Amino acid sequence: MSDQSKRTASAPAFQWSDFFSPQEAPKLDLWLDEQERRGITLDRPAIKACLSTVQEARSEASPLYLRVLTAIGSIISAALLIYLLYLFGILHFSIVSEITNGFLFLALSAVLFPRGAQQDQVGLRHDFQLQISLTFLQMGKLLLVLGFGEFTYDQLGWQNGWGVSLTLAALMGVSFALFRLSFERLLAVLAFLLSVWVNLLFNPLNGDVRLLFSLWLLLHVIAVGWCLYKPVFQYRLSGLLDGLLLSLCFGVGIIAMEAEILSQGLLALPHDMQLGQFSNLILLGGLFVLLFWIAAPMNVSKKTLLGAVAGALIPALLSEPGILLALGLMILGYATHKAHQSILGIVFGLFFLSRYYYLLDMTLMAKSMTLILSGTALLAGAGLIVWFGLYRPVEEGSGHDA
Amino acid sequence: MIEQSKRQRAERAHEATNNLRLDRDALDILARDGLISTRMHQDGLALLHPAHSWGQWTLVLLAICGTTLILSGIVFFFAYNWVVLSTFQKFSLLQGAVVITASGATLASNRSLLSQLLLFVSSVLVGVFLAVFGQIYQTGADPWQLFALWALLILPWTLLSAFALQWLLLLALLNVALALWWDRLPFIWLAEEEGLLVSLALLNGVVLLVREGLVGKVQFGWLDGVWTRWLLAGAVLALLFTPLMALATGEANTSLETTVGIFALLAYGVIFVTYRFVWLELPILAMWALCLCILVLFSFTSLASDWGWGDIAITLVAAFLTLSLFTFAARYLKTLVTKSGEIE
Repeated sequence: MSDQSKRTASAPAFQWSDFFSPQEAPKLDLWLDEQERRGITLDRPAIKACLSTVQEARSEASPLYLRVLTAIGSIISAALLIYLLYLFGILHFSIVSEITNGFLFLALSAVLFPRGAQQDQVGLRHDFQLQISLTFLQMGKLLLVLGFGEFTYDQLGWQNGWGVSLTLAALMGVSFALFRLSFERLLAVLAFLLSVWVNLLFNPLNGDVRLLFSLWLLLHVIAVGWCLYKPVFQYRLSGLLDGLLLSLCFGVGIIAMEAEILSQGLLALPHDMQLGQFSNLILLGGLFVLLFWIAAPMNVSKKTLLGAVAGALIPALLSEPGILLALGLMILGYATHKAHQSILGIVFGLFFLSRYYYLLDMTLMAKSMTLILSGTALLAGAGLIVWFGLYRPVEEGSGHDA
Repeated sequence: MIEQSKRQRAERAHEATNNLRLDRDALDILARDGLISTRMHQDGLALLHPAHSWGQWTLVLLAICGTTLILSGIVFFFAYNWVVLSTFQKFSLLQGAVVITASGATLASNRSLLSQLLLFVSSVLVGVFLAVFGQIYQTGADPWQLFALWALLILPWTLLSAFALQWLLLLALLNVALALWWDRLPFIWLAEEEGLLVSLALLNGVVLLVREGLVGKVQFGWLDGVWTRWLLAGAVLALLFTPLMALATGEANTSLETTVGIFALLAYGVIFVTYRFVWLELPILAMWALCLCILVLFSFTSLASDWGWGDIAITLVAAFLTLSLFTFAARYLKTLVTKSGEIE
């Protein structure tokens, strides 16, 4: 029985959970066994050695709830220890004291962090060492950000938050170099990227804020694309992709809601950026790269690819970057079997789709007609999929490609 | 020593690849290094995402978005014309919508995605109908009655729906109705926050108990989604956290507060035993451990303050207590993770 016919026979009905992530993938070993049964010669030891990089990166990470628990513990104990140092009179909230203590605790954290042979140990002592190391790390990071932030603001006269961003960038580098913990890295990446968004909004240096904001968005999209095309680096730099995606959500959220932020005075933005069109183009480019990444290695027909491209163009025509990003996240989550990315996309999409129709400058009657017509258009699209049978498993020997 | 460690880690990673599942990244890495052919790469990808799976995904996305937009359009249409509609027309339209969606759910294939969605929409429309009824006739009924009646009316559909989201709607309505009714209770001693928290915890706890009794049976396959367990257990833990905290910090002054605190303690115990020994459910145990760590920390600071300890002593002990508590909790959970063989 060929692989194709097996797929046809075993294709189960679509479940709700399949929308977030498709059914569980088969074990690699079983798949390799099947390939060998089909007469393909494989270098199994070389394959195993190659994949150990991926597996090592994955096995490093404990389940998410465990990482969150450890992180909450280290943040609470770091806050208590900083207060204790203050009570003892060891720490003064001055630049020199903050920077000195910050470096001291960062160094202590790096020394205590389990590495090499220690990393393989399991037990209470190892966990205690890890928890203390993470606590010192949070203390060091907080104190250094405070210290250098004040130093650049007061002593160098920068009068803005770029000093904080630079410190966070350096600390992100330290996290990637010295601490192999994906959750810690995710927080470090996110803190740095968000600080740059905020600084671009309020302290855009001397550059054109529109250009800088667009450039930062473009860099995010390029970095996400790089993570997709270079999976090895994605594993070596675990936490980077999720940090980039969360930061992208923040930036696009600001861009999409700029008009409301300005009109309702939620934030005193110094510039009217009107970034909608720029960001649409960048995100559309990113969506095409994503579609190409999915389709390139598969035997996809031109018709299907054109359909996907047309589907991506529709939200771009709506000039709503939030919907474009939401679509990208949902597709990415489904393609990579990562439900959390799909859920992020759904939440983002629900918010921006309802906001889009709510803000349409029309009477309720016209809005009602627009909603009904666009809903009908989407259902017609669904009807086309049913008409062409694209939702049905491929029949054996039909030659029907993707 | 270092070489030995490296070798051990390589061996462990090698063994761990036995459990590795096929995914896009693994396939890309193997193809890039020339360890599998282009054809194998394509076959692997087709196995991960058969062409029809993307078709199904797009179909569901378009169907849900399309239906939502059309329903919203209908709502906007009535909002625009609401003033000019007569009472008869208003009720006819709403009742007509309920009948159409409920009939659609009946006609659609049994327990299909479409039938579940239609039934859900119909259940929401029942609430809209009740709100409009109350608005037009000024019935003077308490708000809790609206939610209770709504829950009662959709109960038969919910029983038939085999749809977790529909049950969630019913449970949310019951919770809101109970919370609103509590303010109207004639028994003053019961009508306190603690009594409400226990009642809500009992309601959600009973639903959790029923869920656990039914899960695993063939006809209740729709309950298998573990998120329902996390949600309900998480709700019970969150609701009972405040009374337990009051007991632990010595702020439970009345007999009711003490009784409720003891009840909360027992409930925490039951949840631990259930999800540790009956069904091993690590995310619930992690929530439980987090609550307990915070509880112990707060009760210590409260007690130490009562004993007249100074700030330095309290902060010093609290910092090391936090480190120890979270380390023990993480160690315990890691042991369970290893036992259960869970690898992310």
